[in-house]
Amino acid sequence: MVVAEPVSTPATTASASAEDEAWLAREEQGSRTGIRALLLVTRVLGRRGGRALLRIIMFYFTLFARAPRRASRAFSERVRGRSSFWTAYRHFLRFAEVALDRVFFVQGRTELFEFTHTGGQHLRDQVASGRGAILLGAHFGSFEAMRAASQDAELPINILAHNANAKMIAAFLDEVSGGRSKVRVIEIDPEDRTYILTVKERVEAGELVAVLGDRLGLNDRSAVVEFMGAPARLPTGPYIMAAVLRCPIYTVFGLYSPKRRYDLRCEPFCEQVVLPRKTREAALQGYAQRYAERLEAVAREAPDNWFNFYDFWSMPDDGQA
Amino acid sequence: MPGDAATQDSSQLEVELKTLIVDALKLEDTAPQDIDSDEPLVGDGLGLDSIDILELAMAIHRRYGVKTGSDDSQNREVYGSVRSLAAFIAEQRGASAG
Repeated sequence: MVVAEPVSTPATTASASAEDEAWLAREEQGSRTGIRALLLVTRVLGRRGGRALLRIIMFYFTLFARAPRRASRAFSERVRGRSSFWTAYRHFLRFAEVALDRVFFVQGRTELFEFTHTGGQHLRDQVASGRGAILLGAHFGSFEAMRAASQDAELPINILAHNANAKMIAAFLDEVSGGRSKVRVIEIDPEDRTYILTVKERVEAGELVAVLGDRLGLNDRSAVVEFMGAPARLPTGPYIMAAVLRCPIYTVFGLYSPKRRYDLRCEPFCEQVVLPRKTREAALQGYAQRYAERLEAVAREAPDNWFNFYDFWSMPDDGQA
Repeated sequence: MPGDAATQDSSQLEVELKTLIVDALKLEDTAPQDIDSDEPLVGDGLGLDSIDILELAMAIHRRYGVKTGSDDSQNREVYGSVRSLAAFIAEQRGASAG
């Protein structure tokens, strides 16, 4: 049994945080149970049986999950100019299939898949050079696949994620790999901003740190970009981090296409982020816009790999702390 | 007394650090003397975000040659306030000098 470590918090927010922690601990337990159930299913049914089961589950999910269904249909309208119950069903099914495949990736069952690699050499060269880098990912396709593909398995990758997610990812990797996973998770603790110093330390030690380029973290810096013909807000934190740490950025995408194909792409995004003092905000907006264009291109190529099931274009408040 | 010298040294360092914070983070509506040594750097105090903390750590490294610890809970304490940060820098410098 593993219980979430309590996190020390300032006294002023102690009671709210205690509740949060209790919730996180329950969530952790819940996710451990869920992960074990998933493992049992894959062991008994295999990948094929698991996929058949997902079809039934995701059919009911599509029927009853109104808000995600609406978001999926709106996205399909935007990309394809049409949408239906079935475009949403297929969209959710792809998400579930990718989630299922993660189990096999972490277990190292790569023989089940066909991988194509583009640009994986960039990361191996980068690591060999002894300099660290930032990997820019998104809620799109499969990041796991990237590491699972045999020759990338040795890359020193750290994943930066929010509390609840971080615990879930760490629990998943630990549970599924039987404690052999080499990936480390850096937890974003909203009460304590010093997790960033862990990022600094890992990059300076020549490791790779994966961050998400498509969603804002808590109080994250951001910029408004043009994405699929409408304004959307993307984080600028990754670019500031790269500028301060003087490290390059690579984009990583793992495009899934049924039934067993993963197209892994890694591209250099920027060797050195330059933020001139006077035009800093404009420069940051420029980097975010460039990423938005990369993301749009892959999302148009494989729309069912887009895993943001909410209104991506809604504008949160401008308040930044 | 050596104790007094150390206290004076660390309060001197605290003043320097406040200036460094304002300069490195380009805080426009905060003057160094507005910062209280015991005020939390994040949250309800100065309200620095993670990027600010990163830039501050780089500035401290450049200025004092002091690197942050690799221990997460230590970092949390060190970056608690100007006072704890000054104490950490003084200690690190003392250790490398001795």
